[in-house]
Amino acid sequence: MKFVLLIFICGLFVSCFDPGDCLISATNLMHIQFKTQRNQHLDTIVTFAYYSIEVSGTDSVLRVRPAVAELLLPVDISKDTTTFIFHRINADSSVIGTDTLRLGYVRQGKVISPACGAFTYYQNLKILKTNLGSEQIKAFSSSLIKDPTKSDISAYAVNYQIFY
Amino acid sequence: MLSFVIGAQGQQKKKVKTKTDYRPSGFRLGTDLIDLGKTFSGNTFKGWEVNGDVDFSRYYLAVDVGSWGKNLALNNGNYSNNGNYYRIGIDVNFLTNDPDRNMFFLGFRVGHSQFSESLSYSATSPNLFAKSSIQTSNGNVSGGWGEVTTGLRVKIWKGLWMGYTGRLKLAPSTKGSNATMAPYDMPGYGIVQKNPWWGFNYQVFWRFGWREVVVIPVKK
Repeated sequence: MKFVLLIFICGLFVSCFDPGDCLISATNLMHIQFKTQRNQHLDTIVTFAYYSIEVSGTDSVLRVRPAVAELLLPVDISKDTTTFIFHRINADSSVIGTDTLRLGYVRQGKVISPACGAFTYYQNLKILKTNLGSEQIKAFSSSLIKDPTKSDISAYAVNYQIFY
Repeated sequence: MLSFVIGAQGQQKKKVKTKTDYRPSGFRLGTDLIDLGKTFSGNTFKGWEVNGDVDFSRYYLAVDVGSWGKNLALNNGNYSNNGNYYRIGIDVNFLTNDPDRNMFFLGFRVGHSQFSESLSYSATSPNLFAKSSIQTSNGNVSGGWGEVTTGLRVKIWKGLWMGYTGRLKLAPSTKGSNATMAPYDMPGYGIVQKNPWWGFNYQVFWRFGWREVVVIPVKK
């Protein structure tokens, strides 16, 4: 009985001094994949040279050259909506098409610990407005990716697939 | 003759069974010295806790009422909360033959908390967006949890008692929080994301008794 009590008290004090882990599992990155409408099981055979992507809340324009089949795109950390304008551009700089995707989400502040600080978790991702047809966009996870350390972006949960 | 002797020994071994008296003999009222120490020694915690129990033979109805507010500096901001809580439960004394009625107990509690909290921090993005200052709060959150408790109560002098209570806190739940803020620290429980979580009180009590209970020590 004495030993049980001793172990209990030791456990109590060890847990009191446990500093905890600084595991931060929040990003503002949305995972988007581009696929062909002809065969939705295959990754996009990209038929244009690059994307130029305008993101609301910033003056910067993202140029993705060469065009890739999947991207991580940041959402605006200070607003509950972000608008993306995708320009599909040929090698000769002629624009094939422009698509708009306006997304809404809930920003939830969460304290990890005093030493680690507080972080924003982005949830309930939903499409507020788009010119894409319902057959051109498919929604998957409504939370943004949580592990920013993986090198292969295919490992992340997909938020949207866009079909051209 | 032999059968008479055996019969007599059997009668001697028979225990005298007395009916358990469940009538309460008094109540203890106390406070947590750790909460008071933290309140007066620093600026991050302000709180108090009052503890009381009433005996029903070896069973004690225990009630704790308290309040705490924290003001924490985060790595990238500030967090503060304030609220009240209570716990109610039963302790079972395992030192039933102690003449001073000292206690080593195991028990359980059910806890309830009502609190508010606010959070301000600086959010950063690894790309594109500038640093943003975020402010959010929860105005009126309620929560509950369960506890397994153990501890000691020792009679020091007349009605003065001291003791400690160790708490293994389980299954926290909250409701009423905003979607924009996850509850962090629930008064009475602690960090909501930690399950289980630990608690410890070092307490001083005064016992108000209204009748004597005679405890017959076990002869060795």
